[in-house]
Amino acid sequence: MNVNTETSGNSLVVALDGRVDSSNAAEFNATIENATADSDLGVVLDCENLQYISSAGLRVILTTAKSLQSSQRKFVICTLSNPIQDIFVISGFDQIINIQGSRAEALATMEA
Amino acid sequence: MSATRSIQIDLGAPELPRLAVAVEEMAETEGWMPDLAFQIQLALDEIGDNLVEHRAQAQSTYMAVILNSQDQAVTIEVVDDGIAFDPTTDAPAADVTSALEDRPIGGLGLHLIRALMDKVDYRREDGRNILTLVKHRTP
Repeated sequence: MNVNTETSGNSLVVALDGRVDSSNAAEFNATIENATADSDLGVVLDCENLQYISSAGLRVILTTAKSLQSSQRKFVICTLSNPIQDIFVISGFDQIINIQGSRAEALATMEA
Repeated sequence: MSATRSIQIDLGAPELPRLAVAVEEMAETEGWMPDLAFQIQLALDEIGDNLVEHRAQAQSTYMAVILNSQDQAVTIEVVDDGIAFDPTTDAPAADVTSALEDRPIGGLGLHLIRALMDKVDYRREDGRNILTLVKHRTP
């Protein structure tokens, strides 16, 4: 797993690469917590290079979504592969998290 | 084509990644679609995580997995030596509909397995829990 953070316009873009499972979910949680704590920008989580995520990783994403909502910050997830999109839908995350097809679309919703 | 492989995991050691490797290897030799490999890995990961997390209460020490790939379907048998637990009936249903602020964190593992697999059966045999998962290779 690798997490890269950059600022784009009024958003913090967090690019998540590789695999997230129970072996590194705690590290993913700490990394995303640190990355978002230093800023009050909305967050785009770009999963273009995310190959795999289990429910241990979904937990971190839900925790992040709750924490950003409680501080009135936007949160958008983008570029999910088909099997990952499927598990987001099965988990009902598509009903509570804004999911966009591309980083450009995600950034556009941040401007709105 | 067909293939069978057995993997035994010590629940007290960080051995779960061996399952993902075994699935990758079988996916390659048996020509699985990438989504199938993903879904089988996820199912095994969720079962393994649950077994590791609850091993103290369940008094379980190991998890034995038999992967069987046929042209039509992949069958996975997962055996553990813990106290009787039927995940198809004894686990609480996941909440996948509440609003974000009310959504409980966790409890999605079995929900994902049930949704992704075509069949999930449980039986208790010789003091062991045996979970059998079947996933068809053609949608």
